Amino acid sequence: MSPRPSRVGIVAAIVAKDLRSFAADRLWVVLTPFSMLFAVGAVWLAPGEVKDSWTLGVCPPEAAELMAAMATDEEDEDGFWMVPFEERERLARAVAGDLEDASEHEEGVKLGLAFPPDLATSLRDGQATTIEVLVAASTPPALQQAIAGEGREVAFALQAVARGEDAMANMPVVLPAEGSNILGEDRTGDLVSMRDRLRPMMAFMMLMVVSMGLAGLVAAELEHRTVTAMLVTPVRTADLLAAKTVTGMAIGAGQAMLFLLLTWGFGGHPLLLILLMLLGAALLSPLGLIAGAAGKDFMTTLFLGIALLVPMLVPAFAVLFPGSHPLWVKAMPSYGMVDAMMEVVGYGRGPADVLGQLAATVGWIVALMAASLVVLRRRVEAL
Amino acid sequence: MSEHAIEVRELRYAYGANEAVRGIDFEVAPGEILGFLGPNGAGKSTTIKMLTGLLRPASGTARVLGHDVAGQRAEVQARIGVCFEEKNLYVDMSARANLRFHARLFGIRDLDADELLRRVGLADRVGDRVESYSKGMRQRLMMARALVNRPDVLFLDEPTDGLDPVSSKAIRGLIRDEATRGAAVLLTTHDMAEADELSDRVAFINEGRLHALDTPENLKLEHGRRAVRVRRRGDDGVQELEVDLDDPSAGERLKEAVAAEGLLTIHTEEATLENIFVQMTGRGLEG
Repeated sequence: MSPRPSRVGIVAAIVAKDLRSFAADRLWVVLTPFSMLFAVGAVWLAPGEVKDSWTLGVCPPEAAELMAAMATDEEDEDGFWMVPFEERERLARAVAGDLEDASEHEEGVKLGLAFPPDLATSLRDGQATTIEVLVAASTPPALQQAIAGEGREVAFALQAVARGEDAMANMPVVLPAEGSNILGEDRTGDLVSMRDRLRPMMAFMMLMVVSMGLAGLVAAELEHRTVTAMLVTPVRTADLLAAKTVTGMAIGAGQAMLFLLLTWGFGGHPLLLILLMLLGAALLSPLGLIAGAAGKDFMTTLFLGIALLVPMLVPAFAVLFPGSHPLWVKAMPSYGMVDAMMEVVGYGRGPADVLGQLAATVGWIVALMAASLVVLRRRVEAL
Repeated sequence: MSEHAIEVRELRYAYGANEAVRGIDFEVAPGEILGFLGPNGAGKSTTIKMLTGLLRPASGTARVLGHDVAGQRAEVQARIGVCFEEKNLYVDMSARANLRFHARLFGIRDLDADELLRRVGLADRVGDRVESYSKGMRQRLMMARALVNRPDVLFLDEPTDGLDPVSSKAIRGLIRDEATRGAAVLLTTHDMAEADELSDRVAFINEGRLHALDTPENLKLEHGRRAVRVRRRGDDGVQELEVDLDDPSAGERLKEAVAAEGLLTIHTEEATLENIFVQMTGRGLEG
């Protein structure tokens, strides 16, 4: 009579077998280094700094001087740099990038405010005048509107000067000397770069690729009925699920951690990031299992894998863009994990700051594992 | 404790509205080979699935080695070996790796896989990937896999289906050896000659019901037609005469036939299990 096997021994045996299968699978042997190379390359090619100042060309130079005087914080390096232009045409060519003899300052001009040459006379006589906002094609619309507003404000100040009054004295609104009241952490001059934003997304994509591989493994077990051979031994369906999840976590989290290592992404909380990688792999593995268990053949498995896993990418894309995210994005199972990663990688937050996201992710893991167990059991019974 | 290795009472199972097994009863003693005969869809595989713990019976009881399969699956599965009809092996692994992996699922870490593979005639291919194996070699490996835990009960589903005579003979030898060792064997097969040769008893199953359960000899005696066929050369060429031994005048007719001139051959006509199956169920075993 054979000795009674332990659950851990059974799971370890299946994991060892699956890891060997994964290593012997030519598709994954090729795909794994390729995806790693792609992800690492994409991160290093992405800009590592955020340009949070704009160079504004102003014509005529007197207007530029007045605008500089109106600035609340002259020491601030962020915001607008102003470059005076004598002629409107030269300013227009600089904004368009067509200025061949541009000086070092003029080269960076992407925005321009051109006041008319008879501005002073018109303002003194109380006549309406026209100012031009010149923008390069790549300038965000919100910035264009801000510059137009800046132009109106300058015109108002110039009108006061033209009347011999103090330019700032009759401003309808007075801003505090400190500048804007920034609520929350002031990240002025320290915005999260595209490189930092890409890291969570790429790590998540690596986990997804492994999850697809896991779907293939499960589908193969079902297609070749090897799962039946296992289930007439002391192996339980739950053992299978545990083994496949551990395999997915080992491969997925391992790859994602290697990715973070290669992109200097561990920062100040390496243990927290390792935990997040493991949770991410545990979150996606059941989806791979469901796809593998529910698929009837390679194509349906692939289709189901894509249908289940691609929506999980939405939060990973969403964190690329700053600002609040819609509720439905926050309701996605992957949101907590990706958001926590962004907080840790991008903003240097610690464990206490991401407890909510961790709890939500664990909740989703439990729910998805239960679902995958039901699907796997039903499929096995139908064999 | 039950003296039976397998004991089935009023066992039932349905796939939705389709009742696959409709209240069957049988038992298998240790060391006994029970041939489970029936056409495709008769309920053989469903019965095996219930007895091996893959399906939960809708009603009735199935006990293996004294354990209720539904309630004590772990105890049962630790002591059984199963050889499936489909070749569900890991083809990207070697025969040795397949056996070692399977053994670890039983908690066996010191399996002598090479010795087991030698028993099934695969000693010279132990390290080769299974994808390079022929159908017969894969079936022999399946048989070896079913034996890794020295099971007390063997469930063999069509173990020689489609095999060449050499592989079939090797597997039949293994089945006999295991029964001699004391293992109870439940054998499903389409091959009536194989069932006749191997089985201590046979069970006929059709449309989820057992139609007969007895030794092959008893079934033939009880349900078969006994006759003698005599061929002789007469004036009009070769003539054939069949004498029904159950006919009261059989002795007289046989005496006359043998005494006649030109006697060529005398054959006893024994009923086959297939004839009896057709007679009892109204259908053949194929399809």
